[in-house]
Amino acid sequence: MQVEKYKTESTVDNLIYTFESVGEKVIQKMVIYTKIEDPEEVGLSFDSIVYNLGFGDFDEKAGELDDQIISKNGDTEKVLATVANTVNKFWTLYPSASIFFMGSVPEGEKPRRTRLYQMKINRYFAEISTIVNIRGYNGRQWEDFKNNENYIAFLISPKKQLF
Amino acid sequence: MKATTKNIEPYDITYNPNLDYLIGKGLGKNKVDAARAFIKKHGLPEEFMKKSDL
Repeated sequence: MQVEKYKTESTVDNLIYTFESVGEKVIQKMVIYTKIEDPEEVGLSFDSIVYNLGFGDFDEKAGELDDQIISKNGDTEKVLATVANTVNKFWTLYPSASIFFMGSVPEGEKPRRTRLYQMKINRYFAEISTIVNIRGYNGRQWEDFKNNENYIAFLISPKKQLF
Repeated sequence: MKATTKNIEPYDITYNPNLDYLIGKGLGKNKVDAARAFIKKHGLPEEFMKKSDL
């Protein structure tokens, strides 16, 4: 994917990433992969390896990740390309893991972030789908990702051994 | 947060040991709780679900 990306820093375990979004403001962004522990507790097979992808603005003072904020920093494409880049890096250490993500929906608002993710997957689907399996949850069931279908959550896994 | 170690790697992602202090701080906990709640309610594709349910 030939989209410009931000330089990114990571923890040693490839689970936390930070970068600066530079637009009208400079915003510290963070991507966090968190394992869904005890898969059987949530009805999954005991050997399921699923990580949640959390992404948002990092409030260094509060030490928290805000995934509800709409930054409007004028660099959405570059930011999302940077987040997608962390997926590749994550899979170098966790090649069997699937990644679950859904857009945050602030109370009383529309799921804009989920739609944004979907639009970007749509746009790069031909390229992405050669290396990644993408599933979407459409409110009734999980299915292979289809363009022009609305989803509320996504699940991706490497299609083949990448490394 | 400035990197003290810069290793050139693919993906333009460098390891920053200063970030390791964040591990275990509970960052992202509410995100994973939301994911767990979603999965508990809606499940994941069939191949992930309990084998006894298949």
